[in-house]
Amino acid sequence: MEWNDKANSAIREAASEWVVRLGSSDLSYADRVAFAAWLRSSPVHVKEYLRAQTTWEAMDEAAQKDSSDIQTLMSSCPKNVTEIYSRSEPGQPAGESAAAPAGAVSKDIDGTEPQQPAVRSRAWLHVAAAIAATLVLTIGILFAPQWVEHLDSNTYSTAVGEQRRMVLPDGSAIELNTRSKVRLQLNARSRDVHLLEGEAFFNVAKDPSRPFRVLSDNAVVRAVGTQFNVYRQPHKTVVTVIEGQVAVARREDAGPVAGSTPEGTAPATGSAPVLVDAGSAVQIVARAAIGQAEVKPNVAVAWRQHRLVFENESLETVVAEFNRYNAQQLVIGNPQLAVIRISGTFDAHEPGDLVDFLTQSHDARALESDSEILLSSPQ
Amino acid sequence: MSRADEQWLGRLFDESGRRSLRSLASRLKDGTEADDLAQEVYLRLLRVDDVLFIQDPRRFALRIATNVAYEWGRLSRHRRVHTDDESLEEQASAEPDPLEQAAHAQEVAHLSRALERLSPKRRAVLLLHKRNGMTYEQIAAHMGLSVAMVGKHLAKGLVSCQEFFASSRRNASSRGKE
Repeated sequence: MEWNDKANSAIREAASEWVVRLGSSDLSYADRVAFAAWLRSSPVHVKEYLRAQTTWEAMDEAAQKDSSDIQTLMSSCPKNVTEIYSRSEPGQPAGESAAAPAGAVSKDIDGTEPQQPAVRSRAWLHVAAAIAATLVLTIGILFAPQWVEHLDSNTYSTAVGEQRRMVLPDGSAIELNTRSKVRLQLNARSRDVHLLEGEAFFNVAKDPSRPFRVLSDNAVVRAVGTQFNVYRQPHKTVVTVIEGQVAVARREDAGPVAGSTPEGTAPATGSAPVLVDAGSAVQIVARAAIGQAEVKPNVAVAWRQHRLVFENESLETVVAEFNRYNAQQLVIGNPQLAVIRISGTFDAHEPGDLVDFLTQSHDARALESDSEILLSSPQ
Repeated sequence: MSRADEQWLGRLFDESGRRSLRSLASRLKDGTEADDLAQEVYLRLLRVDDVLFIQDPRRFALRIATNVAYEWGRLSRHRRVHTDDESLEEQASAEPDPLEQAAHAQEVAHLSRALERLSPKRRAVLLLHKRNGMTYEQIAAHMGLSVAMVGKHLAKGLVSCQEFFASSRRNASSRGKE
């Protein structure tokens, strides 16, 4: 009974946070003052702190006995890196992909082991940039057999909860978020990416001779040396610019392949291009002017660090977001719960943390099964 | 911190210190003993000089708590109670309690099972710190997380382990109850 008490569980959570904070290497004077005040405010705080601290020590032994391989655990939330080589790019030294933005290199250190061969071979290629492209392709195939299927298919997709990064021969990088799909059309005159589903972040390498375009439903985003995020939703596309500038236009029909459109012009029906600067976001909806989107850039791209940031969002929105990332789906049982406003930063892969938050602060109850977590308020 | 105190904290985490912590832990299980012990520690904490306490609040809290646990252990064995300056050697030289050892082995087994039930990412963060010895910053860099997120994972992992442990203890004790 004691352990189920809500007030007590809040204290237990605070005590655990203190145990962890006290073990950090940059514990400040202010931290210690805060801990001292918290600890000495009640014997219950003392009790929960002592329990948490002694359990923390006992976990050392349990951890020593745990022989799990870290890479195996981490690969459950993969951040795959895929190198893409296109036969229609003769003479492109493979070293060019190694010149991908600094962000690409640091992400590889994430330690996702299926991609280790790709990282190693790319480093080798960077050193041997003068080697002919065909020889490079051969070596690429030897090092990473999975590249062979990608040479034939131009469509890349992610499953629920998966994220994936692709480096293009021109040095551009595409990060795919959960449950997303893109089709690439790269040739000598243009670089087109069709966002068929979901969300992707683009880091576009400058190439004045070839426009880089992202086509998402009826939105056309054209970029020259920029970083931007495109989120395709059922009834709108949201484009958020992080760096540089993009031109966004709307096509009334999303039918024909966009590669057939003359470069630099919007199709006959639709809207004139709107320029979007870094720090801004727009949304493209059918049969309406391109409008400003109410989303902050840091919020729009937090998913790249597997984070979800909410600023006074309804629980309905929050749950829909979490459900993109997790096979175990959150379900709202009562309409009263759906209108609760949520602010905070969450790990996208931990719906349990949202559940904890709701049981603590809104007296919600959770009924868990393998496929879902049903949230309800007590009658 | 005085030299003796520094040594005290360092030695809390060697073999003799671990036994003291285990002894303390065994007295913190559900029930009135935990409340009484916490109450006594709380009162003694209020008497500690503020400036001294803030220098290292964790050390003071654990020192006082292990002392109280030790005193009460000796009291229950009808021996004379010493003061707060009880040295770790004296605490450690007390005969190891076989019941305590068995309880500890069971606790570690429960915690191992609790670790298995964590999400893979959370478990990885915990193992990297507790088993591989990485700092929070090193884990953050290695896994592409913020240091704040690492802290959150560690804290939530600790809560999960406590809750899992408590619920198994509850089940065990209710089965064995009168």
